Amino acid sequence: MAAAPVTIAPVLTPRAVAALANAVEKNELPELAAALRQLEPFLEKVVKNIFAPLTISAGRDGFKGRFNRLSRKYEPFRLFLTFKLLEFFQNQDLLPFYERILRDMLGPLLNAAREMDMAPELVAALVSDYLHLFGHVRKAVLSAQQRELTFEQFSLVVDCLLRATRFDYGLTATFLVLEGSIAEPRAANKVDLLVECKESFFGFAKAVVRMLDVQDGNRILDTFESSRLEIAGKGTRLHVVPQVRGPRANAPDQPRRQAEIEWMNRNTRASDEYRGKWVVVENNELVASDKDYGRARAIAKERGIKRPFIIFVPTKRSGGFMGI
Amino acid sequence: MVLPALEVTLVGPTDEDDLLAIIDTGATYCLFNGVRAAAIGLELAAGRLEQLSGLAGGLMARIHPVTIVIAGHRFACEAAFSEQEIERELLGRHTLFRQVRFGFREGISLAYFHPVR
Repeated sequence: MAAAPVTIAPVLTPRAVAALANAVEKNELPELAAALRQLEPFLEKVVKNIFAPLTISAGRDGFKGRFNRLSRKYEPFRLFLTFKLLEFFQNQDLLPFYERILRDMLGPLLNAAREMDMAPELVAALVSDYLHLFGHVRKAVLSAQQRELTFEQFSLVVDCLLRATRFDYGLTATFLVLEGSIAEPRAANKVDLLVECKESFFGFAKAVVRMLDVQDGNRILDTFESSRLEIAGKGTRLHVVPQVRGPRANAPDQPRRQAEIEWMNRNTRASDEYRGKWVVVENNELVASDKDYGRARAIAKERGIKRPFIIFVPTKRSGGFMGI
Repeated sequence: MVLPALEVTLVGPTDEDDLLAIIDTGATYCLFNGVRAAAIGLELAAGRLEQLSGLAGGLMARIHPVTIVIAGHRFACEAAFSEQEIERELLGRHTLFRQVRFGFREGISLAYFHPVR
């Protein structure tokens, strides 16, 4: 079971390694930070040669084949990088650092996922589920470091490792797209990529459950949030469909004003044009913007909008909201 | 920083608005901009006067009964409407939080909402 740490899927993007280096530096481990930074040129070449080709080729039919081929090609590089990490961290506990970095990275990536129409709900659920699974791996590693492996146990570790690579490849590619480090795929390939991520996660999770030989393995698998989300292309947009279970039966699949909220995110964050104004948006269209609420609302009513979505855009950007 | 905001419908006696409100577990009242009151059929000045205090100082508000719709669920509440313009609107505790459950997963920018029935 000492081999279990290499079954983690580290999602090592150049940005993640830089964040990890910064985090260890803050913990007064400058030599470790320097060692991590030395990995960055290597990682950039891995991105260029093994990840960039995934999203730039045309033809939906070829995506799965490309994913299979490139994720296998990634295997030795992932192992090398993971062993490097474990070597660097030796007496430090890598896993809590890594978990914190992954959580810290997620907020900006989800914003990018919203802007790129890359199913932020599913990305968030996959990372959450992965960290949950990671907790099980971590406990097992801590409790069984010294145990000798039989051939059968080692075979389970190998299976887990191969599946971890596939999931790691999919999630890393997704992160790289969201970071802007590799090309944004066309809509159909976004679906393909997220479907591969989800399927490979469950393959990995099942292998972890088998490897750890935990009781109630099915219960662990059943708790995953991503198991309740399906993704499909809908026109040119992705659509995440919650798979209904029990009390979720009446839950709406997404906010009714999703299009308006996305318009607000797109148009009020990048520009100051609407600051200090009341803005009325209907679907993807700006209906009115005015410093006077009554005038903005009256325009919406004149347009026949029965219940306007009307929001005040704060006058200033602020570093944080601390109540009224 | 993404704020934990929910899409809500504010329903008054004659009309309604859709808006985004921040879930604020430290706020006593749901607080809406007073300029909305007349538009949804409320006479702002007729509401019970309350002085509300916040980090940036105080403001006067009028308390009115309204219906707040969240994710298709309707909640009868007493909400505060500011006498001055405010920049953000809040979902606070009074009369609303006993009807709902909220949960947060900060690390993945996710908020949970569930009605209590």
